[in-house]
Amino acid sequence: MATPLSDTGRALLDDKNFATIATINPDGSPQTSVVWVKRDGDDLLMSTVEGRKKDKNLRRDPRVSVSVFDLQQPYSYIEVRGTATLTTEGGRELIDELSRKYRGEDYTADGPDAVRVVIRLTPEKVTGYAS
Amino acid sequence: MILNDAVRALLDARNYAVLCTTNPDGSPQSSVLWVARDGDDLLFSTLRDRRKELNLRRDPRASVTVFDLADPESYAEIRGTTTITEDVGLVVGHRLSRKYTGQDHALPAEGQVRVVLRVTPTKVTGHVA
Repeated sequence: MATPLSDTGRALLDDKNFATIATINPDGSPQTSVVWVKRDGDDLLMSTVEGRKKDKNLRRDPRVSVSVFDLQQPYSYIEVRGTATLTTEGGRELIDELSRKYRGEDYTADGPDAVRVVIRLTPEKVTGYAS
Repeated sequence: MILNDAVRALLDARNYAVLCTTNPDGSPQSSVLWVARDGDDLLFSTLRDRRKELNLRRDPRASVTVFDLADPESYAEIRGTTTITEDVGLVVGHRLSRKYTGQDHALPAEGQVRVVLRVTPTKVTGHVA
């Protein structure tokens, strides 16, 4: 069941705020990392590379929690929970779009063999002061 | 020493931490919190019976991410094990509140118990780790 984002939640995601994505390790413990994020409607789009820890974790257990707070006003934040879907289609385009959003230029740091993965999160539960 | 100087500096500055715990169904839960450092341990303040406190009582394994507000690509992930104690005298609550707001922490409401989440690191990764 998709849950809509609030206008404040959408604004948080549209600004150049960084997201923390939490996944579950094979032993059941949590893992977090800092990622770029953009919005597609009410879905959150993030990028990773095939074989990275969060990619492997999400293929085993796609349940995810993403926190985003306003860098200027950290009390304004949302936690978005849901089940992620992973695709390689559009992976290169997404990392370039994210890089242009955050750095103003295409992404050039990947090695030639890196396979970019799109992490798409449709919010099922949204909490936080800006939810 | 498990935390290097760069990670210590991240934690000592007024950066915000995301603390991740696991729900009873095994899914992740995260929230944005103030953080302070005591040696190599990370200190957080919350209320008894909040979701994260219930989760950590059941499974004390936590993952904490902290990044530099002025340079978010400088970050660390700190994984560790949590111990929970009552914040007697609001020592940690006041310390955190003074760090981030310059003022004492609000007193807990009637019936609320403020607790300290102490995360002892077992693994540190990230661009400044």
